[in-house]
Amino acid sequence: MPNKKIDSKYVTNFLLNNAIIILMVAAAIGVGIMRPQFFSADSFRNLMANTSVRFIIALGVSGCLITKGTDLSAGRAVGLAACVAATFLQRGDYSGKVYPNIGELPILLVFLGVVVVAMLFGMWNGLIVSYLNVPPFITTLGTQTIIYGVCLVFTGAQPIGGLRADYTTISSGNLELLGIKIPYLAFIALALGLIMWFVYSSTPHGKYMYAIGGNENAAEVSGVNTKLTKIIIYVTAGFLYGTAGFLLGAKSGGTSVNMGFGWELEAIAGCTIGGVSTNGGIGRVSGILIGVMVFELLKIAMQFMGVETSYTYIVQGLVIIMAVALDIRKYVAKK
Amino acid sequence: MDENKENESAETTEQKLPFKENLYDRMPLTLKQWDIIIIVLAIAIVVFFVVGALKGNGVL
Repeated sequence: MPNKKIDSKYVTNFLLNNAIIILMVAAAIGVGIMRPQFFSADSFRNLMANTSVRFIIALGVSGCLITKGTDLSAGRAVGLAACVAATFLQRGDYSGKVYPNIGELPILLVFLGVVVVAMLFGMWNGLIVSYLNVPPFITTLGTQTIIYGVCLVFTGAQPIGGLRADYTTISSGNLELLGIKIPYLAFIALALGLIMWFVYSSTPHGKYMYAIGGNENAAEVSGVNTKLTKIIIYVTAGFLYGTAGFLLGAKSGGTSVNMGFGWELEAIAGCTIGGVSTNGGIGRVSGILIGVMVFELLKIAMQFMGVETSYTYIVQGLVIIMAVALDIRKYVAKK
Repeated sequence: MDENKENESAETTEQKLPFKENLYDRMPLTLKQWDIIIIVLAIAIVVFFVVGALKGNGVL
């Protein structure tokens, strides 16, 4: 009898702690039954491509969340990166070329330029959060608006198109493995995920990150350079946003100032669904990947079911709130 | 005398409202109450998903 009680308590806890993932998988199965093309290879490729870019952004945001911060400038940083990349990777013969006097630049050079710009904004965030002690929410909210302004000035509020084929192939190209076409994006995202997994789990920087998230004062007293660690986190986030923006520009085939708008909220949602605690100190790369994938699956499922756009926002918002509620529940259950 | 009264009042206040640094420690709800909130949210997600799908397909 006591064993039965323990088992049912274990099952209840498992179901509640993984409620979102279970709900989303159930929704996906339901949609798949009603719309069989949901389980097609094209749909799977679309899911992987969408998840890849958002996963890279979520990796950047996760470091900020783990240290009890946030980064609301992520989406705009991605947008700026996409615009800068697109501007310098337009076809030479395109009539609407922004800088017609600049010839075709090497892709790697443009990529480096884009990530440097994004990392500079990351450094800006890190310095203000660390040295001026301005709350990350306010700092990154301000940076978000600044980046939007910079993007407007840079692009002249005009959309950018006519991108080079060698640039767009980075995102649209596929590699066939065992008969399945996997986008290059997925491999890039996987590589970055593995690097960040290594950083989070096996480097001193990773340990400092979790220590700051757990208890910043205790970490500082223990000898952790909290200011430097936070700066590195925001600069790394900038690098990841720059990379994501570069890939997004290639994927979309054209960019505008509105690209990436609101994506930071999706990234935060993905992180929270995947187990990154908004209370700090907890979060794993594998969880982030699952969280982002589940959120993308939900969006694609709603598209397939023809859910009205207004309702998709309501559902996404409720999922985000549920993710935070689950996070708090796990903490209360542990006490 | 006034000083003693002030000290007493400060101690009583401290006992009534112990400061908790961790944000999650300040949450007033019990585990069961959180379970109910999560179940309600799950139902709301399903309801809005279904209603949105019905509206989007012109059924409602």
